[in-house]
Amino acid sequence: MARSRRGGAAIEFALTVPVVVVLLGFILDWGFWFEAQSLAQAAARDCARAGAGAPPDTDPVPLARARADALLAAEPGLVRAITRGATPVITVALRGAAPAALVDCTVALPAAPVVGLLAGPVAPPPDATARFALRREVQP
Amino acid sequence: MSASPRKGSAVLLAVGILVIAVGFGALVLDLGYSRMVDTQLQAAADAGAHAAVAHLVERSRDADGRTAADIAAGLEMGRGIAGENTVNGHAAAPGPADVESGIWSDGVFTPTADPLLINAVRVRIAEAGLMAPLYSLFSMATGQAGGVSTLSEAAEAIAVTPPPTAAGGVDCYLPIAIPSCAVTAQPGDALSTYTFVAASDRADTGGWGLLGTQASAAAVRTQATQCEAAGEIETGDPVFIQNGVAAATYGTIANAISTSDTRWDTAALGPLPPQAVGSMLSGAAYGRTHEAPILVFDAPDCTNVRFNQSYPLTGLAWGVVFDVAANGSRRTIHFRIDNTRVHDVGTTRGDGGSVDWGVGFTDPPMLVR
Repeated sequence: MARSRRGGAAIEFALTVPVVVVLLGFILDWGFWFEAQSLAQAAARDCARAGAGAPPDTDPVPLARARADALLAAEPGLVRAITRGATPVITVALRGAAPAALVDCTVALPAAPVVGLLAGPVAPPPDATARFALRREVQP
Repeated sequence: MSASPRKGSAVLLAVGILVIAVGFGALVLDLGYSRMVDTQLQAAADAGAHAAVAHLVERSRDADGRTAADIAAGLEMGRGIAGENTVNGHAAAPGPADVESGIWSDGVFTPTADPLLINAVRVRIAEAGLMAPLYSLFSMATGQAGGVSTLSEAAEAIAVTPPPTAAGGVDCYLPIAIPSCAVTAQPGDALSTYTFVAASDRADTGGWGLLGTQASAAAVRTQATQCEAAGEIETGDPVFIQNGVAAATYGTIANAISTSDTRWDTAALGPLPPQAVGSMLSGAAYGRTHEAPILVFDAPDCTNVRFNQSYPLTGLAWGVVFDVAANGSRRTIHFRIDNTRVHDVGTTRGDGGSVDWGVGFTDPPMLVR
């Protein structure tokens, strides 16, 4: 009788643990992905703001890229945890013409899952990408 | 105690734990998702408001002022730039009524369409139909909306055009003052050639000017000779205007050009204009430049600047003085104004503490919400 109870408990444990582990993995993976998304959004925002406010005789592209780089460099631990050593991709494009010339920044952080048990539509995307387009304050 | 209740309690416990775990998972998705969309909405709204106000600021610099059509174009610009940003996988789409012009005062936005009063633009963007698991679960549990429901998020941004404030710290300026209306009437925004005329027929196009002190002959000449520091100045500071009191100062400025180390930069300034009739410079000295800030003041009537009084300073222009001439009773100083050139003095602006010279300089649009 006692052996049967122990066996039942083991079966219940065995059935429950994988579900709990998958759920924890779900929480961790998505939590990290949203954190990565938030960081990418902040970097894209800083990037576009720096580029949009570039002085008239300054190329906004390196200025914008440098600002995004600086923001990511200020969070080395977080970026390393998110990207696992992969390089973030910062794209700065100057689009449009006066009076609507834009600085368009896209920041893509490769976001490797922490647990990686999820697959298909329930798994977070492989990278966190954010974009911010801002009108240049001094129109070319 | 029998085995059955214990088994039942274990199952209940397991189910309870699973429900809590699923709840936490759903919470992660709900919060993360709604926060992500909220951030994207805010970014799009910020971009729209910033663009609309920047457009209005530019139009306000036009010689003919800002019109209702400029306001409409600015608001449309705001909608367009907001739409360049992505929210929840698609372009942000504020409606025409979501981008409003108004007055920002004491932390309150009041909508208005009056071109003379507008100093702010508000952009509101909303996103409905967000599928949020926990919210849906809660809705199912409470029987709302047929069991499956959606969230909506909204963001608001207000950008204002700060009034021109600090014109900057000035290490040195030439005692030359020109009216802002004369500057804006010059062709082209970035580069204009200006001839300062002092004449007995009262066809003056500017005057000797000093900040905060009467422009006596001695003070004007001292300023031109020694280029004394002026320290921090602000728009609105009084510029005292005088004419004809400092005839010797023309010679002082001509001498400054002749002994200057800087030369006319054709790439930056365009071709060097022909030497004026009656130029005080030798042929060898022509092509040298004396560069310093020049005062720009606000005169109610551009064609009739009254002397022996003060006008409010509206800004500074970087003047590249290249010629001084005496032709009969007329004295002229010729300089090229470079409105965009970056120098070591002026209002701090942009990234990394760079500075920008400008006439009637206005700070960039400021997001206040």
